Amino acid sequence: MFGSFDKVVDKFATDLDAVMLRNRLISSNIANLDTPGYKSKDIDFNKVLSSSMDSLEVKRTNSRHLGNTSSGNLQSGDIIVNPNPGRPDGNNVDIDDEMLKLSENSIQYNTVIQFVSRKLRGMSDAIQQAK
Amino acid sequence: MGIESMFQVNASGLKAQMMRIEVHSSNIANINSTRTPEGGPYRRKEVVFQAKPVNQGFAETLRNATGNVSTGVEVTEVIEDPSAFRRKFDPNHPDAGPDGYVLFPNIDVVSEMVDLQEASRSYEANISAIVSIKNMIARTFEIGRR
Repeated sequence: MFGSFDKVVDKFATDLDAVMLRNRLISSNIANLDTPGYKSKDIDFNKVLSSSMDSLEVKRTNSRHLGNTSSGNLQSGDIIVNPNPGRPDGNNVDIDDEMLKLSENSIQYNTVIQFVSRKLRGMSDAIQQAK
Repeated sequence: MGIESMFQVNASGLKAQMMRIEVHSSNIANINSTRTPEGGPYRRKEVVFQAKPVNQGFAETLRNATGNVSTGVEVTEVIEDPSAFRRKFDPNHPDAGPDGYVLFPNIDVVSEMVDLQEASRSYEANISAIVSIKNMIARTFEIGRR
């Protein structure tokens, strides 16, 4: 049982890293809505999340073996810079796009938190009933 | 997790856009100022934005291999628009030159209003980002709470 808890925490930590990173990128894009020459940045969220899905499948012959750790899943190469020339001053940040991504990201965060919360509560209930 | 640094990015956005609003408001207020303490009519002013990295904190940067991605913004200077002043013929005006023309500020109110609207909108977008971060942090504390 604790083996599955470790996997949950690992996946949770990786997903959170991705959500937080994306949030920083969106924040930066919004702060630089009008900065000449600034190009908007993002991560390919589906790619990053699905690669963290694979980490759940790591086989361990002994529950004391370490699973995938959360660090190292996100690389500099995951950050995509939007190459569009954009407006005359060189800025290509689209305010509507960023606001949409902000909402998406918030929902994504909620989802992860809910998932972890339920798992934790489940564990807590199981422990209490075992008394 | 470098929580304070998350607010800093959009806080810098708020500050920069507010300065932009002040400058364009100032332009509108002075649209007919034919004289200034420095002499001559009021010259239109503009802000210059520049991206500026925000320190994410050591722990956060170590955590994954993406490095410091937080980029805020700052106003590096307030520049004066070098375009020509408006000329209006009015020899009776106290600031009329020897040729009878008065020099008025090089300000177009419509253009200033558009800048003001844009700055307002960007300001609000930064506020939305801050509220969003605040909500995420609040929800973090609710993990496991019944």
